[in-house]
Amino acid sequence: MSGVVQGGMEFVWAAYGITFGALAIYGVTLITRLREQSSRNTSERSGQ
Amino acid sequence: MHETANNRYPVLPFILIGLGVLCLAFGSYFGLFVAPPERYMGEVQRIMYVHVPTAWNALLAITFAFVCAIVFLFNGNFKWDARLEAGIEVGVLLAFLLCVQGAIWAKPTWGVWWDWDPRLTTTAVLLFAFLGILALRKFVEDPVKRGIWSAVATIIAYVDVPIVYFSVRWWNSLHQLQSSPATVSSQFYIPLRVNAFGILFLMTGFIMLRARLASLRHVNEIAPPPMMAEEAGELA
Amino acid sequence: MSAVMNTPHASDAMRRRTRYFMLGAFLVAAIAFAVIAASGINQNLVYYWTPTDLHAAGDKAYGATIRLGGMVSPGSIRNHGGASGVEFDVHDAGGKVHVKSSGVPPQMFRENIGVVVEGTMVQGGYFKSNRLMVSHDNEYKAPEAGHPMSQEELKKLMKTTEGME
Repeated sequence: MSGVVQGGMEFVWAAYGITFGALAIYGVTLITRLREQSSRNTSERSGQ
Repeated sequence: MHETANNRYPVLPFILIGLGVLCLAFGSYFGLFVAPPERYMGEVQRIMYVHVPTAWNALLAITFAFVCAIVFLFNGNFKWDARLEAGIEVGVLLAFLLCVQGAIWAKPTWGVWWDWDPRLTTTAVLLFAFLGILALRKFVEDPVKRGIWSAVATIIAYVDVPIVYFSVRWWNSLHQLQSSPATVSSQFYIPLRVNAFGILFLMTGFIMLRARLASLRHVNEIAPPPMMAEEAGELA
Repeated sequence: MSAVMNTPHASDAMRRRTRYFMLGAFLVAAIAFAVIAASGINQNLVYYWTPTDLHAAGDKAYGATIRLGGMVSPGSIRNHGGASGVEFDVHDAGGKVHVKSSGVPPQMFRENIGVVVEGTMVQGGYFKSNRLMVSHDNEYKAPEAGHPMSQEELKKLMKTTEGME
């Protein structure tokens, strides 16, 4: 019972991995959604 | 020609996202490999360099949405409704990550993944309140009603932000009080601050793109031909 | 110019109406904030009881499942029954409570650290717990000279070596 956490790098990797993984996925889906919406807007407008 | 110009991506958000990625790469490298371990928490303390910046920026994104709600109710400009939606979506993502990181940090240090401590409880309330507002926006078809209701809900839900902040002072809690430069070793400052700016830049870029997406949707639903926009406003 | 610029404005009538909505929202928010702040400051809601609270409650403290929070008293930690559980005293400025906790304590568990234990006060005058949580303070310090050592420990060490020469 030293009072010091031994090891535990797996927790650190999990926290960083989930954070940056989620931010990256969000960024990619955001750009995809934006691209789809842009082309939808353009096609609907040109159809008028 | 005009239309093609509209659909080109704006440059600034991408510059911010790039800057954010650079900061996060440097800050995290420093935090993971250069900064010393903490005297009691050991290696696990390195989670602080993502957790604390996430917390600051989550509250900042929600605060931005709160400001957007006020401005929207003042001037009725749907640009602010789009920004509100963007701020909430990115804020909810960060608040969710905050809870996950917190649980991962709590297990090896506190000994539990979660407990209904005031700080954790009020943060969970924040996450679900704003998730609820996003759901509300999905279900309300009328853009005017959607804008007003979500702005009102945002102002009310925002009370939880100061409560989250003060929770560790008002009640006794498992979560510790706010740290300050005096309670944190100077060796830990660099990764903490660089990552804080990293997430700030990344978040700002995301919010700008997300607001643009929401505005494009507005244009489609409120004003299929642009000249009908005035009448759509009048009907409300 | 851009799509963003074309997003419509609401009419004046709508804007007048929405300002009342805003006033209403702020009113609701202010009331909610006041009620919650008051409950925090008046201690109507408590996350854990301190040893002082437990002593003050007397017999009422027995039987209910509650949380007890305080500092682990120095020199009080013992393994109990050969199992993985631990026994220790939790104290605050106004009292001390003996705790018997089952299960392996978290690695950070030591003397003079904050803990929150969940369980019940049982007859025999001790607190029986099956959930032991370590509460870290807001100090994050690099280890000094490669050894984990708190400021108090360092001071203590310096005091013991002072008279040696």
